[in-house]
Amino acid sequence: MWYYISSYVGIYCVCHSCLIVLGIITVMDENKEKTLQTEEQENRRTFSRDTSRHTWIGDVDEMGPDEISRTVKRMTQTIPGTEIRSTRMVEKQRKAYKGFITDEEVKDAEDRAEAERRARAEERNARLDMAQTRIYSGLGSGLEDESAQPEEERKPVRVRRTYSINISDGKIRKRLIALAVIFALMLLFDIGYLFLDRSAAGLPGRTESVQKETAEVLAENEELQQTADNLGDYEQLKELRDSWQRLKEQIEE
Amino acid sequence: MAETERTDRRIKISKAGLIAAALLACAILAATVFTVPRFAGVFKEYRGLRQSYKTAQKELTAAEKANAGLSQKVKEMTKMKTDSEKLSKQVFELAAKTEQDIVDGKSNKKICYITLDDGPYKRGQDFLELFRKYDVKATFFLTTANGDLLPDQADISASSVYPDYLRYGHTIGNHTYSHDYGDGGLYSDTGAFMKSVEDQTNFTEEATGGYVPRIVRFPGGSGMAGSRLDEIEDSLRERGYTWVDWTVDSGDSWGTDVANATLIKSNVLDASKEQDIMVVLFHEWSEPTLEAMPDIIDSLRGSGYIFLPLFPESVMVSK
Repeated sequence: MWYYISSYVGIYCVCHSCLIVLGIITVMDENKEKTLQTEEQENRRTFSRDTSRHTWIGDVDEMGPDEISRTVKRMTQTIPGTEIRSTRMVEKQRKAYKGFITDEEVKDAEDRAEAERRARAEERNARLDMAQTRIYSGLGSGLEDESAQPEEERKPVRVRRTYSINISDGKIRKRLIALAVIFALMLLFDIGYLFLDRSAAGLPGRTESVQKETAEVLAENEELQQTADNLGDYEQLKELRDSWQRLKEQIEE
Repeated sequence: MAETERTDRRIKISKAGLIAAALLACAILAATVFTVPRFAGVFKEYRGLRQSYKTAQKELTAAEKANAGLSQKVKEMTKMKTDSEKLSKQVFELAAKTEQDIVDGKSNKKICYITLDDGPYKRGQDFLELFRKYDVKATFFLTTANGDLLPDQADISASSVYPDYLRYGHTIGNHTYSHDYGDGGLYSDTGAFMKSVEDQTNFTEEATGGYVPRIVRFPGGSGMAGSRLDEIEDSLRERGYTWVDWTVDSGDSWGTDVANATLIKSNVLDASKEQDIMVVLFHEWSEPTLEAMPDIIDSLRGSGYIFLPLFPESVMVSK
């Protein structure tokens, strides 16, 4: 019976785990797809805004020139150099899905780091030039002082890739919890198996030890029984002692 | 607000963490896949072994319990035996002193030593039971004249009943091995007498596991030794023996046509009127004696007699 129960539990755990893993991967893929779509929309919106070729005027959810419906809001501003005020509809900023960092974001970060590095190099070169000028003009060497200072250590820009799982989605959260519980149960099952295996391995030795001890005690019991038999009957001994006691009292009277 | 909070709930996990979690999950899965088909077998084996272990433990517990009980019993029995030995010594010391006081006229106590000769007989068991019932201790002078079988119960070994006499606190006396007091018998030669005494001592020692019968009763009485009495007494003394005759003959050996319970009883009770310390001669084989004994004990006890087994230090025992 235990065999069937354990087999069922094991198979159920394995199948369910696989399903859950597949489910999570699917959800992650969906999220990724959503992210890509959002990014695409963002790109289009940015293009539109930057070039100012398109301005959406109208109500909320107006269809744009790219035939994508957007949430928009009304923006009023004064045209520079004039006192004319204009109103335009701007797409409402929506938070892009941050589940995954995109290659472009990585590239941006690397570009920013490169730009910083270049800026620092230019600054240093400028300082070098200035020092050189000071030497030529006889004001002393400023290069040595400048060069004596160690160049600021360049720290490599590390971009840590992280995966973000949105657990605000109830379905994923529930599945994650279920997965954790199932794996915990499986772990417990494995630990139980290990415990049983260890105990089963140790039991014969313990049993043998107990049996040996029992044999010793039984041998001792046999000796004790023989001693008791040699001593006689318990009741008779008691009777004998009491009779001597009575006899003693009779003589002492 | 709650909606906003919920939308912000995210779990961020690094790539290494994700790989580690996946590896852990794979390890657990692999372990489970390995475990499940073996679990039933291991569990069954474990159950069997556990059962054996529990059974062994139960046996050990039972054995230990029995051991504790036996140890306690042996301890108590040993103590009771030691107490009995101590008490018997005290009784003999007190008895010796009382006897002396009686002889000196300082005490009005009376002592009766019941002695039964020629055992062991099967009837001896009846005497033992009677004495146990009446709380009386006596002296049995045993012989091996009939070999190692009871004369009145040929299928019982004589040596097997020797311990019974000691079990009830009676004294075993030495009535020689052969009990042959006819012509050319014990009294024809001191050496022959002493050999018979020693043989009986050895037999008793063997039968009882070490008891040495130091009080000798001459078969037929010391008078049968005649002119050799002094020589025999010297030999007995040299070898650490004492001897005793009787002061009252119950008459149970006077012949089956003469001896009866009434005669035996009257003989003993009549003699008791004149003796404060008396050694009464009975015989273990005598049925009339067994019949008369309860009345004799009751009458003597009523007259103030204390029944004691003979002991080497008694004034009634020759040394």
